[in-house]
Amino acid sequence: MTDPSAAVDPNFTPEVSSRSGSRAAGSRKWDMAFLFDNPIIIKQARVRLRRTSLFTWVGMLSLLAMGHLWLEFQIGTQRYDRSAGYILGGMIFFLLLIGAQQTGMLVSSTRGSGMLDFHRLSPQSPRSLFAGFLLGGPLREYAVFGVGSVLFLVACAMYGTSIGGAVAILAAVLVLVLLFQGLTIVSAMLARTPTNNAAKGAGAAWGVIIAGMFLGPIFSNAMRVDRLASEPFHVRYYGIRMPWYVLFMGLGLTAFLFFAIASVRRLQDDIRPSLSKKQAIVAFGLAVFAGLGFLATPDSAMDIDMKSVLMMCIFAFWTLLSFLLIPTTAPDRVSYIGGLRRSLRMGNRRPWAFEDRAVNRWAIGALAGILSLGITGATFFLTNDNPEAAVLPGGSSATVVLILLEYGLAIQYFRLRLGKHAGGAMMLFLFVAWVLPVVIGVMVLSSGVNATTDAANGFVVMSVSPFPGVLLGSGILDDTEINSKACQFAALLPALAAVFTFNMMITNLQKRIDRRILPDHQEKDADPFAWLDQATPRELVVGEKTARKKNLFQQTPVSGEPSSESP
Amino acid sequence: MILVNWIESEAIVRPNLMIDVSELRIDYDDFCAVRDVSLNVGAGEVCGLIGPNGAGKTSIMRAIVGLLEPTYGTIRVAGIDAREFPDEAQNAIGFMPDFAPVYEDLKCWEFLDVFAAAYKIPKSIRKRRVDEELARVSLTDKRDVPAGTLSRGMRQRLTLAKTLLPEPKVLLLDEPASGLDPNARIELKQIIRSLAAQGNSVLVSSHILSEMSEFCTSVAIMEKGRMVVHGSIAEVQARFAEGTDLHVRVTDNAEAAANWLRGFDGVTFVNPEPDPRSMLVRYARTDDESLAGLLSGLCGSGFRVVSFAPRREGLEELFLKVGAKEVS
Repeated sequence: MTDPSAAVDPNFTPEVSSRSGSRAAGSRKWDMAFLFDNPIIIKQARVRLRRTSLFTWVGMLSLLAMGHLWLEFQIGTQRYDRSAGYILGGMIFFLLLIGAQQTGMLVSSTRGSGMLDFHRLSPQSPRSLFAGFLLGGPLREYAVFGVGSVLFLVACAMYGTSIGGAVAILAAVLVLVLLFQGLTIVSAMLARTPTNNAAKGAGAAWGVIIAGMFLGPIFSNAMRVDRLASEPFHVRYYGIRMPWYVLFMGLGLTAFLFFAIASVRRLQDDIRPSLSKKQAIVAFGLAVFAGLGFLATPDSAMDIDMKSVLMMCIFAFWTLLSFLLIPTTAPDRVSYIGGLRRSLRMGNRRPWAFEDRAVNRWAIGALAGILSLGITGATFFLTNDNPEAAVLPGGSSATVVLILLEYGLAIQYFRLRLGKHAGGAMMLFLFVAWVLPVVIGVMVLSSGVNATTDAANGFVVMSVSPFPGVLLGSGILDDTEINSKACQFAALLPALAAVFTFNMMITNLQKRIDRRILPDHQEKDADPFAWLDQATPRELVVGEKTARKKNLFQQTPVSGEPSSESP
Repeated sequence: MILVNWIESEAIVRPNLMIDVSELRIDYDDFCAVRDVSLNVGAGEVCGLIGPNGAGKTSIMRAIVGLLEPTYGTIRVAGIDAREFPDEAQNAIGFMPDFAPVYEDLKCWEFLDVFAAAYKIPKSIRKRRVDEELARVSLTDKRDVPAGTLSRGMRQRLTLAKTLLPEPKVLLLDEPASGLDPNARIELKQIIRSLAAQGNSVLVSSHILSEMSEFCTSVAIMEKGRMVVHGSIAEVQARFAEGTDLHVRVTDNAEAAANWLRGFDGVTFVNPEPDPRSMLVRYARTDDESLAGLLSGLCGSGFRVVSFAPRREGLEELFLKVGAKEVS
């Protein structure tokens, strides 16, 4: 045990780089222990690699694979590539679905039981925890994959398939597995109720097992392993011709990197956003860059109509991704006020724009800028060789960017104003702004009093909802009753109004909070936290009327601030 | 190097304080769980953190170990600012929460072995350390039993073994005795005493106040997120003393002795005890001179005194007394 004199000695100094007693020194240094002496992997190895259960799964896969090879030999067809397809299908099934489900359950149970806190309190780094979950979660499935890979390569060799190509397929499968695992860990770390998540994972896995029993043979035939390995198809990316698996692995590993960053951040702290504002911007920038690569191909390589459809799909992907990234940039009320208080303590009036606790205005501005660049780039690549190519008109392009801004500012406003009730308010807002116009538009369309006028009006009303508005205003739908100009405006104007309104409401809310915090802070040597004794974060954001009614604040307005709202 | 120097200079300011919390505030959304609380625990000290449910005891402990971010306030563990250097501070801390999660599908030794790896204990001594800790919590005979099959008390002991594995200088135990049988409680007391004797600091929260009084050297009483009183037990007793309770036993003439005591200046009441020769006496003064005067007066009056012992107040009485005085 620790020497008592060390603690009571007036010259006692804490050990920083070395640990007391038997702990090894310098454990935070980069070493491979996070892989080879990883507690989570050790735990999983003891639980999931017990001989009986491991041999059962390996034996089942081996018997099925060798049985199929023997069958092909016996019936004389000798289509060992089909055997390889079966084996690959089985391995993907094991690793992707059962493996991801096992990882999800491991993370959820570790979190839900409180064991994750024990790991957090140990010198184990979040990176090491992530590696543990990634490699330890589906440990048995990895073992089965190892055995299956040998059988797969044997089957390929027997049929004369290129071994190099077969190895490339295995590598691509591994990247796909990493993506699934990373996504699973992030989802499990983001879930509010970990145990429910585990239960859902188990339910989903059983569904997949039952579906897999029917889909397995179809999948195997569709795999065409021999062609995929021996004559891999090539794709053009930014004009460079490359085999499919190179592009797939490049994009897959980049996406995995961001899953890993998000997981590590959440493993470090449960209440941190999964990505920082800067990371979200970089992720979105890379996604836009990656998407443009598919469009930056010569027209000879792809049909122009196909390119237009691809462009719309890429726009949809960008928008969807931005919707996933925006919540990570918007702090809630408690976070924001905490950040404000900290910055006041540091002598700044507000946190830096790209800090986790700062309002997301600049971050979504950056995301919108990147999206604008992406749309401009896509338009350029499409019209460069063919000026007649169908591209998104200016009004619709602007609407796409405004949708992002509207969503980002709305979520930020509701989180600041309503705290934990923001989700419900956001749903209601999206229903009113995005769903209701479609419902009303359909009602107008189907009213049938004046077919032509009603149809045209119906489409315009539908366009008030931004997504139908972009589609109807783009001119892609070839219908004489659609007035694309009117649809563009119908989509653009409400989005523009919403952006200005939410921006103004956020500014007002910030000013209101400032007015209530700053007077205390402005006094010389005042305790910057004194306001906390007067009011809770919720009270800090309530309207002036309510504040007056409850007699919450008695302060003077900050110099330069409008005083009309002050009590 | 700069970091080390900085920490050293900071540590020298208050060298003996192993836990130094000042002006700590913890908020959960709109609810303030801990309000401007300060708490000090010195080396070799066992501090009992007492308070009703919701007083903020667990929140303070979780903030000290770094599992909860306080709204503001400073936390130093072994001289290290736990908010600035959480990793370094955590190296000095062992924390046992109020419920004892274990990996149910691992055997007891495997469970400890997993955490021995997490604490970077070298492989060469890992097995020995695991066996030592199993022996310390009397779970050697359960070494190869799956942790999931253990009773609640045994799980608690296994978690304690895990907590002690890295030999922490500062131990935070949140309700450690809950679920333990009487034998295990005695063992726990012995473990806590031996840790304190080795110079480690222990902050322990519990509702079983009678037992805590047997090993706590200081006490911190909380109520509704505020620190009501904090100090050594003797200090707190002196602060809230309304007099001295004395056990007095005489060889004979107990009735006469009681009457004599009732007539003595400063004696507020005399209660006979089940033993007919004993009585409980409340004396309004607490200083040694007055107590000596009372004793000599009693002896001088011809009563043969067998025992004259000031009764030490238990934590339960102290808690009730403090609660009645301060909280209400």
